[in-house]
Amino acid sequence: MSRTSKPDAIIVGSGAGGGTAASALTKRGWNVVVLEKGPNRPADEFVPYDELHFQDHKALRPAKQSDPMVYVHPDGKKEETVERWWIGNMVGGSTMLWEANLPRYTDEDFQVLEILKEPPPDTSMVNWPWRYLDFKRYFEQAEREWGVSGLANQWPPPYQELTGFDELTGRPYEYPMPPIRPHASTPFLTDAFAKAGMHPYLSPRGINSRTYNGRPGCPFCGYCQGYGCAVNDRASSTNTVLARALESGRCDLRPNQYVTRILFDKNRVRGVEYIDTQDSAQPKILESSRVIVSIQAIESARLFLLSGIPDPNKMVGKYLTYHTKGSAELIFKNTQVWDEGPDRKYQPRTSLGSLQLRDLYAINDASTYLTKGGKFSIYDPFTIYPVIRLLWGTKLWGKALQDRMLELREYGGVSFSFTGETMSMDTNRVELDSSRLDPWGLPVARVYYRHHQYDLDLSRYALDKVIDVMTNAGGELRAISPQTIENTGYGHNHGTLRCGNDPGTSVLGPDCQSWTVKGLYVVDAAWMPTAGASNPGLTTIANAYRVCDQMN
Amino acid sequence: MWKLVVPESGFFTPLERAQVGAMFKVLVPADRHRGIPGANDALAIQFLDNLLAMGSDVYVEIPEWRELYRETLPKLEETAFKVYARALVELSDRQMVEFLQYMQAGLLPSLDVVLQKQLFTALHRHCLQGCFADPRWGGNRDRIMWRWLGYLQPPEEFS
Repeated sequence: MSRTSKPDAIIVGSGAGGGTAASALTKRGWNVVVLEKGPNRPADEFVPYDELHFQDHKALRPAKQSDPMVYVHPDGKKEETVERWWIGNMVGGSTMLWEANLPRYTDEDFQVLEILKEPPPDTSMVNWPWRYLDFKRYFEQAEREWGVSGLANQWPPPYQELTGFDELTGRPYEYPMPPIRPHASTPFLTDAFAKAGMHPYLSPRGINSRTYNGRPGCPFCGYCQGYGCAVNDRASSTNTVLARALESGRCDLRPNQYVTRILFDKNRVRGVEYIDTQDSAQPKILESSRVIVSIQAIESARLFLLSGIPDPNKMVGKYLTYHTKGSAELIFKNTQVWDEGPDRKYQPRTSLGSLQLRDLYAINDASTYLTKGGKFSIYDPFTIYPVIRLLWGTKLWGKALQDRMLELREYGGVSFSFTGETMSMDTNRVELDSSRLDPWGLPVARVYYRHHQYDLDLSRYALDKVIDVMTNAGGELRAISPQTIENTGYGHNHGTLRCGNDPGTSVLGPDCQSWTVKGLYVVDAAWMPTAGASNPGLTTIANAYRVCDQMN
Repeated sequence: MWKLVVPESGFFTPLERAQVGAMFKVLVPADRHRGIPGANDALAIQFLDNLLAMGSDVYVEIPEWRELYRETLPKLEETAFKVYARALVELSDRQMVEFLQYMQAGLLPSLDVVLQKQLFTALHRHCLQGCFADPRWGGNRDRIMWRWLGYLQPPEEFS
């Protein structure tokens, strides 16, 4: 599309939210300009696959030394600069580097107070303005248009709808593709959890299990999260929605353009001020009656603060949530190392892992005060990450390292990663740090964060549950890392620009439009009133479709 | 496509190279009896010698590492003489394990606590990288560690 002087909408950021908005709005016949801070990186730039270059030497991350954020510890005094490893400053944003773990949020997330009946008094837990069914068609649209592989209806009643049971027709929903080939540990783990009445299930992934929409099936290269997908089997904004927006001829994508300010007149958005990062001489201005921001929650809050967006309730930047995390690793000396097997029925050793475990999403256990829980992603210790990270993570050397290397070579293992509900607190917040400037002279984000005791207890509880089941199956615990009170930053960041039905208690309305500046929308996860307890990617994308559907 | 250019000559002096090599040998030791290859087999020291000769365009921390090794290796040598009455490269495996345990805990005498812990972390990490990074960086010779561990292919035996 030729350079547009006044588009129907300016989209800031080209990742999960921005790319989706570009696709949805161009489909409606609108002309959009997408301003992306980072460069265009074709798949060729993601090879050779090299752990040292991309992981240890952080080739694709904003440098901590020059472009960090500041983390303030729970004591309010100690602070440190932090690498923002979750930011993918490139066309496609962090969808170029994600694991594409794409579950749907469900009513346990949308209506958290139905489960969390007595939230701790010093928290701010709220229900979202919708229920799961309001989002369902947008989830389906997201799965179709981004290309999600998976299998619906894997659970016993009443949970089928969580993976897409169609309650109107009574028929199981079908994902666009079957799930990726199972990991060799799947039967063993499924049996072990079944004995405890739990139901792990094959994960929905934005990863092709076979050729879909012209992109190939996953070859299980072993370089997934944190690496670019040179094969393009892993869905990204660039190889799905953004590609379609560009094909429409109505999307003007401009890489290397850093939006520094949202412009508005009284209560109406006017456009944006931005810098060309390759030629940062003079700020430029682009006008439009709609500006859609999608640059991840911390950065979106920072942009609101830099722009002085009217904030009568003093809420901008507050209620930042990361997910409650926790991990554990076990080895099973009663198994052999997981492998694809002679008939290649399973994934090879260096691959994704398959299973998710949601049985602790809602906790019904008289022995604990915890009620809203979370979900596990289940991996092989070899999974996703190449070897340096695997062995560095053990912190072992000498004979102890040899013993561990032998175990990893000989026996099957399992690694659990928890994503749990997180207590929202107004003290967890984003401010501007005027003492530290980014490479373009603007204050970096200053983030205050401490996990609530509920989060810490939840992480420990959930880890203990799965470790119990696994040790009963012959597992020996090798590492455990429950959530700590500090959190220097995480890829799942949400909530800094809360949406809600009441202008007195939210920054955005239910249409994700600013209450104070009309025409200003946010479609990254900053709108999420609470964290929910799953990977937020699909829900972010579904919401972008919903917002663009209703935008006028 | 990103291309690695390996420098023609390394960073270390022969003595520094021998000293770091002696520590690497104990950090990722070989075990002939159990058939496990180690840092010496992988030529992990070659990896670090190459890496430190590269610039900050390859990775921003490289200049700091250069300084760290150059400044602390003579101090380690002094400490080895004080404690064991012999040069670092002449410590027995058992003495070197003890020496590294002290360094990890920041307990080596007459050496700054933070500095020695920092050095241990760098040595440990660089040794693992020298063993398990892609061979294009100069270590993991002939993919020896990957082949033994079964990374990207079924495991092989070594004697």
